[in-house]
This record gives sequence, C-alpha cells and structure tokens, in this order.
Amino acid sequence: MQKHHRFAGYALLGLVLAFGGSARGQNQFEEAVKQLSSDNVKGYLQPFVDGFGSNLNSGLMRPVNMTSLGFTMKVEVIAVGTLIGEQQKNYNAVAPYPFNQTPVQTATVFGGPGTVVSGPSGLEYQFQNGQLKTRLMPMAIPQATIGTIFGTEAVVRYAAIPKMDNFPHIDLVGFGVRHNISQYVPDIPVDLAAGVFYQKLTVGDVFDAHTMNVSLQASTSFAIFRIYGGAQYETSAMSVHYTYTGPGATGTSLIELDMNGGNRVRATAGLGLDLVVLHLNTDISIGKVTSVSTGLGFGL
Amino acid sequence: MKRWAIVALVAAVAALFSGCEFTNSPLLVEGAFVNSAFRVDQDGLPANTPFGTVATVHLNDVLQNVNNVADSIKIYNISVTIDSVTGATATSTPISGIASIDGNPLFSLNNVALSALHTEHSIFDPSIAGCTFNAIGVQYLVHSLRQNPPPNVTVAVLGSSSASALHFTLHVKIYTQIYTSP
Repeated sequence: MQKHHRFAGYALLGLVLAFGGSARGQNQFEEAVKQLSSDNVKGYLQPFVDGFGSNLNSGLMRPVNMTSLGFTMKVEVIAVGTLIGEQQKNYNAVAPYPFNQTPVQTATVFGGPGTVVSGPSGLEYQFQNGQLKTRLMPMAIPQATIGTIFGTEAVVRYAAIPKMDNFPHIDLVGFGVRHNISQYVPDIPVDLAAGVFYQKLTVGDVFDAHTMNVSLQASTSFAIFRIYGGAQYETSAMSVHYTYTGPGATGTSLIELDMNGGNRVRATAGLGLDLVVLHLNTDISIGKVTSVSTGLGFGL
Repeated sequence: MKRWAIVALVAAVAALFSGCEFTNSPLLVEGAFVNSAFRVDQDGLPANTPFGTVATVHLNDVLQNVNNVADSIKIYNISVTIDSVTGATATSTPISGIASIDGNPLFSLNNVALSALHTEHSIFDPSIAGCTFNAIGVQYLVHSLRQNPPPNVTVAVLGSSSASALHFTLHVKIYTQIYTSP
C-alpha cells in the first residue's frame, strides 16, 4: 500500500514538476487573475474551470468486466485532456466606469489580447490579455481499482504531496464504485454497469475543487479488444481564495471565488486493450467541452 | 497576498498546465491608487472668499504594488469625492472651483453641492451637473505617466462658495493600468 501511495504521489509530483514555465511565467497567471473583480474573473476563468472539472471527471469509464465474486486489483496512470476551442477563448465583460457599460467580447485566460475600449478624452481601457496558449488542457491522475464483491468494484484516486520549499501541499482523494448490472439481465448483448464517483483536490489553503458523477456504462469485447462507452452526469466546483488588488480594493479585500464547471452531461466512447496484466484504454467524451483520456494500467 | 499563497495557486496551475505555453501578451496590472486629499477649513469669512490648497502627488506610487517590469502606464479614470463635511457647513452648500495639475486645468466645479459628490464620481461622469473635466489637464497627466519614471506633480484646488463657513475634504483619485513585460 505504501508503494502505491508513493507511486500516486510521484505521478502527481511529476506532473507538477513537468511544467516547464519560468518562475516569472508562473506568477503571470496568478497575477492576471488577481487583478480581476469577481464579475469579470468568472468569465475570464470559466473555460479553465470547465476544463479542469471535465478532466477530473474523465478516465472513470472502463470495460465492464466485474464478476459476481472475484479478485481484481489494478493500478493506473490516466492522462486526460480537455480540448480548448475557439468558444473557450472569448467571453463578455463590462469595462469599469466611466467606460460604456455595454458588455464587450474579450479574451479568456486561453484567449489572445484583451479588447481595448475607448472612453472620454481619448482614454482607453484594456481587458486582461489571455495568458495561456494551448489546444489541450492536460492532467495526469493516479487511480486504483479493487474488487469484486457482488459484482461491485471500488475505484480510488489518491495522491498526497507534502509541502516542499515553495510548493504547497497537494491532496487528491477520490472514491467510487462500479456495479455490474448485466448480472441481473444476462440476455442483453452488452455488459452494463452503473458507477458513481466523488473526488476532492486541495492545493494549500488557496484552492480546492470537488467533483461528483454518476454514469451508465456499457461494453463488449472482441478477443483482447474492448469497446466501451456510456453516458455520465457530472458536477464540478472550484473554490479560489485570494486578495483583490484591482479598482476599489482595500488592504483586506478578500475574494472568495466559487465557480462551477459547465459540463453536466457527457457521452463517452472508448477502446481498450487487455494484455493479461497490462491494460490500455483510450476514450473521448463529448459534452459542453470535449475531453480525451488514455490510461495505462497494471494488474488483474 | 502571502507569497506562499501566491505560489500555491500558481502550483495548482502548474500542475494542470504541464506542457502548456504562456503567451507573449503583456500582463495588465492595476496600478496602486494615487489619492490626494485637500482639506478646506474656513470660518467667519465673507461669502465668496476664495480658498486654495495644493499637494504634491508622487505619480511613481502607481508602481508600488507591481512586481514585474513596467513597460507603460495608462490612466483610465480620475475620480473626485467630497466628504468629512463638518462644523456649520451644510452639505447642500454649493462650491465652484478648479483643480489643476502643474497649472493645467484638470476639472472644474460650477455651483456643485457638496452632497452631490459625497460618493465617488468620475470627473468624466456627465450626470453631475456643473462638474466638467478639462482635456488639457487629462492629457498632461497622460503624458506625465508616459515618462520613466513618472514625475511628481503639483495638484492645486482653488475655489469659492457663497457660504461663510466651509469645512470639507476633497479627494482626487487616479486609476491606472500598468503594462508589464511578459
């Protein structure tokens, strides 16, 4: 168990350390967010929140292979990513007074230059520039599966990285179950399962997020290949706490920003490869955003 | 914001954006507010006795909260507020006068009641009758903020009122955006 703990921790730590941006570049994003009032920051960050929530809710659908009673234990590293399209790069924002209060389209955190609006006496105001250039918002997640009892297996996500130098502690905890429905209706041509999963991610005392999803999954197999898919209802929420330093700020202007991911329903289709103890899965999910995931697992 | 808290949020972003690339777009930062307060206290003087007060404003103060290298500074709003009305001064007392920056007129008040500006108003707000901005002073301020570093300027407030007792404070606040290097 301790080995799995370390593996999970290293997987998440590796992702943290894999970020190649400079320290100055890393501060840029945080500074960009810090300058926005609550009204505008939600629009600026919403694509990020949507992608983040969708990523956490991804990688949970798998081929249905739970027996009524048996031993299953598998450890996976799942790479997920949400596609960033043109609709994630713009939002409508309102400039501060004395500029026209009609909303204008401007860049989100994934967008290009912020829109410039003109005001009295030749004055101008520019909305915050986009800070991240990417077509995919990636994430790597460690996951373990153990079962089965009465056709039910448990799915666990766990990683705990203690505070190190300038990096705060990071904790990821998730738990869910998948239950084999086919055992009640053996004549159907596909294997069916229902799943539920909850997880929470915490970074220091500044950021936390939690997600919840319920799903109906189906799969069939051809030799070592598995075709799977399903429908999933999901929620995600993110909470950020920071000190506001923009217009109207005082010395103790604390902003507590609570945002919900926009993805609610997704349809997933995937392909799996089972090589006894090596398992490879890849799938695509379509909802408000499009996410892809690839998992490499070891176990029975 | 505590340094570790800043890094905490950045680390969260770092964890999520492995392989992503930051743009070369300048980071826009709100400059620190530059406030000037002008106190007027007059008692027992004949009506329409002029009052005046001056203050030195350190425009470089807009950069005090900026961590990155500032490429340019742009002003986007100037506001005026009148508060701390005390003594025998009625809030309905009208005042007339002009605020200038290094001798360049910035905005004028023509029979504006003290109460009309008890909440912060932009000098560009046309809804306050009698409050008018002057493009000469605005452009002088815009030009001053383009200098590196921004200079100190002298802001003067001169005015008069039909009341014989005047006790109030007039505040002028400058709002800026700082363009920083990516």
